[in-house]
Amino acid sequence: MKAVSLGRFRVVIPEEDGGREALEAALPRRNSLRRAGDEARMAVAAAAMALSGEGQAVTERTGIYVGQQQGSLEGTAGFLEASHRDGPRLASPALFAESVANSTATHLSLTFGVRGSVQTFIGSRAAGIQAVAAAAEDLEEGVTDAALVVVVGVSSTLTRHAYESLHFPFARDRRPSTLAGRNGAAAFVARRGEGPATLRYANARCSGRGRRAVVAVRSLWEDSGAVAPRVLASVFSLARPSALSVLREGLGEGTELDPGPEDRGESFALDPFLLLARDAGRSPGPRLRAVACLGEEGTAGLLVVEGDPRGA
Amino acid sequence: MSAPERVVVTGMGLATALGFGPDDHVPALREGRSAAAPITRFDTSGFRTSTGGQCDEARLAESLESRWPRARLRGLDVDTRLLLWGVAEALEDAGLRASGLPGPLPAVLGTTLEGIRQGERWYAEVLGRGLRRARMRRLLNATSGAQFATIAELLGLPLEPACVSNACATGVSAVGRLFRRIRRGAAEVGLAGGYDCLTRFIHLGFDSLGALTPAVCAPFDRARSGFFIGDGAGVLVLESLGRARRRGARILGEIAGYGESADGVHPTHPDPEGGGIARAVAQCLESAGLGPDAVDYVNAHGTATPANDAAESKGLLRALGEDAGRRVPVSSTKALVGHTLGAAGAVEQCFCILALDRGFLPVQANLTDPDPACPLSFVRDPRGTPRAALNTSLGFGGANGVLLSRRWEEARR
Repeated sequence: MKAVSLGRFRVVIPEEDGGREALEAALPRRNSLRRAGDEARMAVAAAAMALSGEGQAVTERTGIYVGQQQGSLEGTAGFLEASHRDGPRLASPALFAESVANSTATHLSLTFGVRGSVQTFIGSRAAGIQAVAAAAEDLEEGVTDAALVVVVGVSSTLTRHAYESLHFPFARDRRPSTLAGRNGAAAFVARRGEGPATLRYANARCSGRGRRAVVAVRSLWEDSGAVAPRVLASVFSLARPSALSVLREGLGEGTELDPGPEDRGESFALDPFLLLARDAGRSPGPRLRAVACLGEEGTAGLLVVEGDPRGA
Repeated sequence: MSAPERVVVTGMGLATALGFGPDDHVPALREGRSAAAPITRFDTSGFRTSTGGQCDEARLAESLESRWPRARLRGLDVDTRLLLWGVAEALEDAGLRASGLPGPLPAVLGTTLEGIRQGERWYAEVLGRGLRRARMRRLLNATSGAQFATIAELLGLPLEPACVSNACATGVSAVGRLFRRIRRGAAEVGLAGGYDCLTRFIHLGFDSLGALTPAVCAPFDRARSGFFIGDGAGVLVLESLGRARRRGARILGEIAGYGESADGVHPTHPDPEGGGIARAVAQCLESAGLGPDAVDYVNAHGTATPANDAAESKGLLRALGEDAGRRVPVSSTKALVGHTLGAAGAVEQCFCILALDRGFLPVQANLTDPDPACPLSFVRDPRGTPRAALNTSLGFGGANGVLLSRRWEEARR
């Protein structure tokens, strides 16, 4: 992989950053955002900060790379509910448009006038890492000169209810548990070359669910060169013990695994990026930081960054 | 810097309402035979339209059960089954086995709906039995990540997965992303494609937009009124030419170029001037190192909506030039299999490869009165031996993707 620098991570977590009012204030004024859902609003706010913070002008050769675990579950449920309530003939085309998985990317493209590559990656906790990998590939290929990477984590009422009612199958004790959501978005601009933070590795693999995932974790670690002595762990909070055990086995005994605070809230694909930013905040300076994730759906991801992603 | 690798297609898994595999599709593509039929999968009472393109689920089940015990397939919905069939078929067609692969297999597989059939069933349970008694596991199995894990487990094949979801340009994006990777030398072999199936949710969504036809799907016709939704899975094995030659693989065609762009104009409508698709076509031709004159077939997105077909025609003329643009044979195969959404670009890429490999042009079905706003040359006669085929996709949010593929014999000269 050729060197790709990552601009300063800009993170929007409405619950911690002044709530919805602050979020609305941070949004650019665009008609197209009027009907946008929470995912898109947080993504646009984070992206606006990332672009302005980098002084990055959007050109024909700017790409957008979005990663989010759930496509647009809440939008889908909203459309189904409304169509059931009002009947098929009154189903709302506007609600339908917001249910499409790439609607966040669409809002980003419309708001910032991006006309280059616009890609959305979905379906797993590693979706954000896959978006970073795709951005790096396109920079290396020369398709883009700058890549706006946006990762969104939303734990909707629907997902919380779904997970809680399952008594999550990975959990050994199978006790009912509570999923504390932490909704937000992170954005940064990636470019070719070295920077205060430089991407060293980003990839995802899947060898099956449960303990089968050890194979995927091990192959990622070996492929990355296993360069970091310590790895931050991002696992689904309701399956924490079993998922951490899979990561430990995959990474091997010589690697220190840092699971991070247990009470940080579930933010799905966003979680690896929050862990990375938090770790840089605790011990800034140029060093290798690795974060491994394992989702309940079975996909493992690994992201290795050298330097400070907060752009110190 | 070393020369880019050439990227060839060595395996194909193709499933639509027309059937399973090339032999079910080629005659229909030559004849312009449509698979559109009344929907039986769900109740369409109260909808404006009731036509769809459903695959033969019994045949699909039979084919899968010839590979795996029925118990291991239990609970898999039609979307996952289509994906599983497509992947298994493509690997078999390419003569690849999990044990013979160097490591986790790159798999760029796109979908717009993931496993939404499970989500719909959950929703039906919520309505029927209440939220607390609805089976939430359905929602967890509805993610593409869970679907990919199923594929990895059943095939015993570790994957390096990426699930692309760029609306109706998804399938082309998936193939294009893997093409670039192999060309750059970052991978030697992998799976690329897309899958989706007809569901009540998606039918209702496009019905609400007025994009579905109450009559027949007639792309580029003056009286066109939209499309129907179809089931589909299109999965290709892409391989570097060097690797394919080393193992003596049969080569079906070459992927030579890929381009992509965003309109940045409207959430659901294409740029009426076709600017975005024109940029994607130009980028694709540049990446293939070919000029517009080299293109001798275009498999258009051609959704048969008034907005799409006119905008796409303008875009093609802008990119190819008035002369080549009006001369090159064009057809939209959505008239035959419907709009297969996340699968569309990949299914249509399979059609391009089949046309190049077997020497024919897919006929433009249902075209009786070409719209003057679409001044292109439509395929009326399947006879022809195309050497280079463009495949265009335009999606929601202005996502555009274009692939160029070449006939293998021609490319080898």
